[in-house]
Amino acid sequence: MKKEEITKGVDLFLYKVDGFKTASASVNIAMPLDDGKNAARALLISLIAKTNRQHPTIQKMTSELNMLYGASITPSVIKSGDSQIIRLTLDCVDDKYALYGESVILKSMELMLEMLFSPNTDGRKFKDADVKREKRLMLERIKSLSDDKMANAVNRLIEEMCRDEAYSIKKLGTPEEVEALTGEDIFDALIDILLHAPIQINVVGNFDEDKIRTLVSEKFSSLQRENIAELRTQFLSEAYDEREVREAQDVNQCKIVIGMRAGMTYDRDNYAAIKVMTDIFGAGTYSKLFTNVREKESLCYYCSAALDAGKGIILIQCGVEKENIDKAVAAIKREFQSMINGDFDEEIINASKLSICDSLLGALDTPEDINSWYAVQQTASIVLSPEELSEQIKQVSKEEIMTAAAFASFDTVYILESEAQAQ
Amino acid sequence: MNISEIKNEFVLEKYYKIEHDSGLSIYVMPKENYKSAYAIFGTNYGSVDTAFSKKGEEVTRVPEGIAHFLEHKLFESEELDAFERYSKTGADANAFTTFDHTCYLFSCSDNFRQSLEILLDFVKSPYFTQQTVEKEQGIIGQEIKMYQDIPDWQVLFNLLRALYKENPVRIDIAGTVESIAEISADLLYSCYNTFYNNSNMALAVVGNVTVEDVLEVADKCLKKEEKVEIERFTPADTEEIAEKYVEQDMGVQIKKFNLGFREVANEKMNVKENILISIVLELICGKSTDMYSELLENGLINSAFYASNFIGRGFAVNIFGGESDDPEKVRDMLFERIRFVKENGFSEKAFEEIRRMKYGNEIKALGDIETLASGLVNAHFGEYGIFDIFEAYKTITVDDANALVKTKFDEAKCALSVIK
Repeated sequence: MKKEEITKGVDLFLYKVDGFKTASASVNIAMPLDDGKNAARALLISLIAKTNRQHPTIQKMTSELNMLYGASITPSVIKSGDSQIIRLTLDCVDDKYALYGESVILKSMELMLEMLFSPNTDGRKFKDADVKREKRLMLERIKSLSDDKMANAVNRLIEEMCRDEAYSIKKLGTPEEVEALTGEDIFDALIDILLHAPIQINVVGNFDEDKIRTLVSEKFSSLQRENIAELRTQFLSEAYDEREVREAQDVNQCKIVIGMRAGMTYDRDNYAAIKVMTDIFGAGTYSKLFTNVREKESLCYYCSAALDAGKGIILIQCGVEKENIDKAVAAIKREFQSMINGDFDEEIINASKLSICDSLLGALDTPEDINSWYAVQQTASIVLSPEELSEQIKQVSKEEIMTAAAFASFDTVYILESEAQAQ
Repeated sequence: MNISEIKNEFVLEKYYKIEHDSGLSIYVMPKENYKSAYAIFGTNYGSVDTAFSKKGEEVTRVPEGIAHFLEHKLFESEELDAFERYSKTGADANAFTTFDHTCYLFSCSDNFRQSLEILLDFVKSPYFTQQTVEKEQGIIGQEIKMYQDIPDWQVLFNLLRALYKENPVRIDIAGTVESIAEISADLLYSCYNTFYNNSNMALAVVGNVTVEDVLEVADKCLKKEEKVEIERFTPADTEEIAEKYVEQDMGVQIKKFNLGFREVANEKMNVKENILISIVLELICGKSTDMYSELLENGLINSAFYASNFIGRGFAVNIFGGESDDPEKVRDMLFERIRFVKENGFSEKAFEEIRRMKYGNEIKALGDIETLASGLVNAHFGEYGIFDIFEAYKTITVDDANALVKTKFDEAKCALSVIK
């Protein structure tokens, strides 16, 4: 893979591979979550993926993509540490499957870049009708997300646990922020990212490298880019205190979400040991949470832990009956204590390493996988290949796992219980 | 044993179909450039199989959710359970139950043969005791409750109950807390011995594998089994649907809806018709239609809107789903649109555009080993070949689509399910 700086703060990753059915690409745009423009950017990325100057209606844009053999250009908004990433992801067929010899990859890439460089605006603002539609869609999307009880429980935990950190800011913005947006705000957000955001463009597939490079360069070289935004994430290596937050809603099953501080001071800080520790504790089917809390005690269907290294936190999720809430929380804490005590053998360490390394080995199997692997590392302090990560994982010792557990601390317990049972 | 190679020159792919001596059909699709492999071992048995017999024997009626329960229990054995065994190979293993299939799978990049051996061995070695059955009732009880809190799941099952009075597609795949309490080890064995016969199963492996790898393990693990003739007793449904409108209050901020047309289920999978239906749905209200723009610009649908062809053994429903403050208005506009296309047909240009898009999506799917392996198993049970799809794309015309749409979407067989 080659990384080249096209212009200040714009990196192009070209990854040429042959023999696949598809090509995959992405434009990844990162900005601080707390600069007050997160709502505008989230709305912007959805808007520009639907229409642009050459394709001023959703119908015309869709027809263009349909004729490119169902190429898809999907907008997404991601929270990565204390940064917000807005992303366009392109997936299309490899050129050899085009029926008339056209280059689907080149044409689709051009279309994706036009979304950024040729927006359908009225001068320096987006069109009222487009803005009105996108605001409604965003408000409904936010409502719909809060109707998802499991996802909402995680969001509530983050709000409570990280209430003094940028990380608690909603990646899509609040309903009030969305309501207040104007066509000018959204246009300003576009100019702002084009001039100041760190941007990473990935292209993976079988293509003419010079043509892709020229296409991207031509678009970006016209910009006077300066003051590229700096991205920082606040890491709390230790919880100040343990809190419990209980809320009631009309649910059939109580949802428990527990947030821990992983003991990290930056995203790669002792990463491999903490990853293996979290995996043994609660990620695999061999993990302590799965084998004990689910299988032995039959308390739940799901009970698992996941590490978010970009923020240095571990999230544990579990769904239980009301009368089992305290029992489940106690069981989770007991299992974690057993990690600190070293109550696990070499067999489970090997199982964990085997499992993690096995999935790393196949992590770059398809153009979509390769694109995704490098896209999610846009804000990482060090970009690692699966092989490099695999080597680190293999080196982890039992003592390091125990130390990793000892440095992690419980922060906030969030419990969503059913209304009738809440008194 | 009979091995045949099935090739498609146009999409540059091939796979092998093996009629194994054990009676199992095995599909192997080696893929260059891939480090990982994906294996799926499925039985033609799911939640709709609530009454059945082996030929000549008495009919067995089983509690709702037993196929799914069996899936959970199969992972256990007298010694190490399947997950403990996989932990020595590094494979990522799972299983799922649908209305008409139960599948066990793993993906891995290394130790493929050991993992395949575990898969074949545990699926072919049932071990159920009353004690382990009771333990599972707690876990699955929580799985059922989890789904009860998911509006998108509820809106679908409410729709199915509105469309079908008798067909067991109306019951929840996992059953209910009450129905799974009736499950016993004996009942599990009865289901197992009927449906987990090699002749009712298929194995598909795709990715970094060879036919030799797969056969070496299959020869070792699979014993020859006499074919079991299965009779299934699916109650014939009433002519009338149960309800035209159903609603459930889950306190959601934006209503969710499923509008479903009950269609006549084909005896056998009809590849050409399925492709045409998927194109027709796109032509009715896909993003490139006036209908979609009209619904969107009038604030009646949002990004969650979709149309899908929901089919399986003994059931077929065309579903339009999404979120809306006014689902009844969406229904009325779709009714009007469908009447219009039945009368006037689709344009050749629109048809060609959608055909090209769908063709591209099929090509894309050929890059995904998981989709391919599942596709091979589904194709086996549906008695077609995965490359038949590409042949069908070549021959279909707008006239086929126009003729087909007239035979579908009967308003009298349509129900609206709403979660508010």
